Amino acid sequence: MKNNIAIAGSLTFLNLSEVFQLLGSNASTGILRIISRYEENPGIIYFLNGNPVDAVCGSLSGLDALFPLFGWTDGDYEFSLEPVEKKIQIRKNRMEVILEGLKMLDEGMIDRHNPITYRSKKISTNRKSSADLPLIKGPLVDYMYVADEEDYQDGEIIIQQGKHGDWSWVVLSGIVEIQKETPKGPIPFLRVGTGSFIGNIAAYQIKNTVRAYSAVSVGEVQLGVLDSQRLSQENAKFSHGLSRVVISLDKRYKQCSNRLADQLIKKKQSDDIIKEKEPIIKQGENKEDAFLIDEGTAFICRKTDKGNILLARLEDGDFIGKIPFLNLGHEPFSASVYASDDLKFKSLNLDDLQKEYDHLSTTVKNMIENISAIISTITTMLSE
Amino acid sequence: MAVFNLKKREIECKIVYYGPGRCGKTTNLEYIFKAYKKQVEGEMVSINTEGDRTLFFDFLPMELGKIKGCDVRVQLFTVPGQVQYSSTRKLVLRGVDGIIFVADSLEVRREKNMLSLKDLQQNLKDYGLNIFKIPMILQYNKRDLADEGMPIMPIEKMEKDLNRQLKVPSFPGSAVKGDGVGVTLQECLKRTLHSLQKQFNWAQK
Repeated sequence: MKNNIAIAGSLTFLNLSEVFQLLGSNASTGILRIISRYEENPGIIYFLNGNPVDAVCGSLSGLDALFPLFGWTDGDYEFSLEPVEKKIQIRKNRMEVILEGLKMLDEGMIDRHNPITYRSKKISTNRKSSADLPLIKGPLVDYMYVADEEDYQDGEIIIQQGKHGDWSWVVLSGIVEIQKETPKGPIPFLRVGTGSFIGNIAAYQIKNTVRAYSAVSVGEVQLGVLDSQRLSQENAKFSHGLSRVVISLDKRYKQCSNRLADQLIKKKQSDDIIKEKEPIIKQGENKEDAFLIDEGTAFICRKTDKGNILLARLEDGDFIGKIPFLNLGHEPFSASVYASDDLKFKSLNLDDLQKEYDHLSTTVKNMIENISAIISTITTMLSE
Repeated sequence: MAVFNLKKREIECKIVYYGPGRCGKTTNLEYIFKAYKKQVEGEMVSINTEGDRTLFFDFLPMELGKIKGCDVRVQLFTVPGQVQYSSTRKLVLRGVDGIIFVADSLEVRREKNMLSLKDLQQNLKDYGLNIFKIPMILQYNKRDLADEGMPIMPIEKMEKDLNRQLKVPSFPGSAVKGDGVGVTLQECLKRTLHSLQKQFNWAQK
């Protein structure tokens, strides 16, 4: 079946409407499949002479199945040349379908399926409500790693900042607000939804971790308790490099969220440390390597319109540089690294690291990806 | 960016009616659809958007001849004026070959015209196009409202507002009555095809 694929690729490059136009201008007949990591079922669209004649997605068919597919902005498509002998369910011309689909997307009638969503600014008139905080979702939950399910009512505290705890959860449904305790009371800074994780990713590497934030349910929430035995076993096999990267990721998360909380309560932040210094990695540089710090301190800073913003302060054991599977919005493209005079580091073997990452279980990969998405969002919020 | 369709030996190009909400883009297209029925191919697609309608149909300009032995098919589009429809507007503008900017002659809409023109410039820029280089025509619509005693801006003032830097051909119009609709489209077609021809000749060398 796979050998008659005529075109395939990522929807982030050519979106569905563009794929439609391409197939349309070619008067193609065949089957377009699109898959998204945020959806269980693939979307299947049947084309006859360049026009969509039917679509199937899960239990939906026809236009009901087709329109929601325009919201799948993060996914893959493949078009295979096959005879289509479907009964014609969709009689609209392809341009009409495209315009209607995009209109529904613009009007918010269909959901966008990508990891981070911002509530449209129009609705949020009240700054205090957390509804305008970014909402971070994760990919589909792998139930192999869910040991138990727990239900929470509105406003229940799932974890409390400062307390010890190693458990982690994945959000199965509902929204959880992530808060930082500050001298001015708890400040919500993020919301996480289905597929996102709650807990410390580093908890399987170092025991007795302290919660870095509080998590509170918003409305009814169902969480999946992660199978910690399974995760610990997998974590125990990590190489030194990967283990350091995971622990250091958690550190970056903590530091960036602390910075954000400080900024939200308008506490003055000092970044004098980096004045009159030349960065060792300059923002925007195209460097392909990464290092582990042996000694000294490194400062991750992002240059914005408001000046340099300190994102994290890293010490021995932490990584700096570009890790191929992480997208943090930090160095080298979007932040600089400054070093103390005594900084010493050794380079990380990225090929080995990438190979190890490729063989990780879906859940661990999802956790790493989720924490990267969160760090990148917090970083964006910090620089706004 | 015109598309060559080798199967049909056709060149497909795209003309977009741009302008602020309720300035008469849709009325322009509806008039063309009725008045030039013979040259229209297929159905008119109409999508209801808030406060506006987005229209689209294929148009075959016969009198303008062929380019390199290929027929020319023109897709005529209007964009939804309302701000919220950014994906739709962006898709419609993708690969545009010629633009007709419909400006509203009503005095109260003066600022809206200028904002929309600026928005057009930005959207074109996002696609790597230059508003000064793309074939473009201005239409000062709703001239007929003067007869009903509504306050409209004199042509000279609109020229100064909108066309001082662009220096493109402009026509007064009244889309409701059909005045100026045909001539605007013809001029835009002529300019668009001329620019395409120029591109293709250049590519041949």
